Amino acid sequence: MTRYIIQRIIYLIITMFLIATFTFFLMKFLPGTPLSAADKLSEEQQQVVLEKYGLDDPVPIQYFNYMVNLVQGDLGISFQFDNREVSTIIMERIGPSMQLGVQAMVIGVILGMLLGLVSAIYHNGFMDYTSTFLAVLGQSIPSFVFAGLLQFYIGVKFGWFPVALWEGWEYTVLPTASLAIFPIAIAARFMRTEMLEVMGSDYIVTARAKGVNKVGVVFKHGLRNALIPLITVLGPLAISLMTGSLVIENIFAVPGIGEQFVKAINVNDYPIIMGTTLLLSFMFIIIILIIDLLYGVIDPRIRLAEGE
Amino acid sequence: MENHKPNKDLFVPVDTTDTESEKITRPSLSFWQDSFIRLRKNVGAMIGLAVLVILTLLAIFGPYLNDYGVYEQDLSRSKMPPKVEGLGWLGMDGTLSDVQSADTLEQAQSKALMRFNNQEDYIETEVVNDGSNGEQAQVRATYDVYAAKDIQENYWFGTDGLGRDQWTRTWMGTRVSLYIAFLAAAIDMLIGVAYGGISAYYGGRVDNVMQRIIEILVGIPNLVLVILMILILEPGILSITIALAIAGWIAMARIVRGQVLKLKNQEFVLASRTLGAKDSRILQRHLIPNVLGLIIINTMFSIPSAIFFEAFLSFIGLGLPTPMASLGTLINAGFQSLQIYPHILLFPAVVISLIMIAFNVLADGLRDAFDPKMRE
Repeated sequence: MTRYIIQRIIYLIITMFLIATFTFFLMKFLPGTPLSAADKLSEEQQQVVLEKYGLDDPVPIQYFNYMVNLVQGDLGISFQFDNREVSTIIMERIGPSMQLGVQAMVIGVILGMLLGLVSAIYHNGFMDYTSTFLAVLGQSIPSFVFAGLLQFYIGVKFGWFPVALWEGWEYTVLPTASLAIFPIAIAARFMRTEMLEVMGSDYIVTARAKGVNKVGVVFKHGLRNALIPLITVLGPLAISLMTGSLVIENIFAVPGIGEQFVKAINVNDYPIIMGTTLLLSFMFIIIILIIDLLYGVIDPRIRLAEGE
Repeated sequence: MENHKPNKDLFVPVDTTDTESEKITRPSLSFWQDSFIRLRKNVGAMIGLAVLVILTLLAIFGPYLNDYGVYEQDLSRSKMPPKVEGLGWLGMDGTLSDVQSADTLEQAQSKALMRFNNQEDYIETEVVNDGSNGEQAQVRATYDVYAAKDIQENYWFGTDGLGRDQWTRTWMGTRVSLYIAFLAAAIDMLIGVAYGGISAYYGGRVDNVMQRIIEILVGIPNLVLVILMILILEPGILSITIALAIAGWIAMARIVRGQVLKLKNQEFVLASRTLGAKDSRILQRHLIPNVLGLIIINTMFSIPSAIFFEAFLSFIGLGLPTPMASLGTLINAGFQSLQIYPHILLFPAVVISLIMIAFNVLADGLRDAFDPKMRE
């Protein structure tokens, strides 16, 4: 197990290094210049600005400086906002993104589990078909289409919740709902499959034979075992939420990382793009690692299989 | 009870010879025939397939069914609501309507007229709530845009903010989505299958190196990779194509590798090799046909995510550049006037949802047909 963790961490470092390198060089080849009014500035003025941000150094030196700063947690200075550190900007904006992501994840997985459980209990019944159908819809329809529906009907027509902005908990309802639909659908389908498989296994039959009632079997023996594989979908779901938040934050004008990222792309603000990319990649890799490790901790069978 | 017991004399032994009992009474079905029978029985998958065929036909012929070009702008006819002869009951009657409320009936009435620039000749008002019960008075105004602007032709899906025909643009956008679907499938089939197959079949150092490369690529989120690729190239269909080619095949390569690893040491491969078959023959005749079911299933599942990805990129402005139509850009444009002209968002949103649902349902059906073990 320790060897495995160390091996995984080494991979993590290599991947991060490559992503950082990759990001840096891609940014250097970007079309367009970071100077928003390049044609209005004289040669000298351009030179002064480039010098200020270290953009006139040879590329290898820029790369070296970038890497050294990166290791110290310094992501550089934003082009867009005068003299503001990228890490500060990201830190300011990470709150709403995290809140939305966590809310959507928790609500999505819990609702999805319930939906999947209902499906499995009433296997091939009306409830099963309804919830499977809903799950296919939720999995298929893009989150920004859902966001549009919610914004138009619940926000504009009925006026139950605010259409956009970020000024209190009621502002989080619509974006959270738009984001949560995909996790609901995926968790429901996964839960249904797992639950059906678990309910057909020998220990369930044994438990029934010993006289445990149906509710007891479903919740005590079935659900607990079906939950374990659900952990594997949490990783991909977390990543899909990070992707989804890019659009959802834009639609609902949430001051989060995703909204900032899209804005930065439009104005060629390299340091913010690089910083956000690295942050997203880092979170992505850490989530995958945690889930792989968690899986071994929770399910002793996997640990045993690896130990042999 | 005795009278229910049949008399033994009624039974005559069947004349069974060995050949009779061994005889196969049903036609023997190959794996593919069997799978297609199962697929045909799946109502959902068949509906999905039908929807896809219809959408494909509309994407091919739709833009030619009326005379408006994709880029044909005309501000005098901007934001026209949809109008189809005979489909008025669906709300596609070429009118805009809105409910206005105010403290008194007169105020509500004038607000309702104001809402559509006081074009009184073309506005019909209808009192929803006259305010006598203590609530706010509400008046619904229905504005016949076609009559007001004296436009004779019908715009089936309405027009967008620049007066471009939404019908033509929606089907042009659908073409982009279907192209992406085709592309994703091709990349999965070509790069993914080849990479996974070669890696597993040759094994050893080749496999080791190829797997290390995959392990690193997997660590990079697809989104980040795609966004970065699109940033160095100009946004457009080419950069999306390249981005998908880089990121789209990894899952397939892993699955094919796993399957080939499992299969390549089985007896039938050994037998074939003993008889002198070459590597290429073993791969083509024995390994790939055995993995093909899984390849098709996985390809079908990667298509909707690729379509979503293109729409998503276009939506955030990294996909097709502005004058071009993609369902993502159309939906994005729809958001800008969602409150007043929801129809601009409606049609592209419905079409992309239909495409996604159809592909997902068809993929589920194919999975159940090819691999009944995986059936949910």
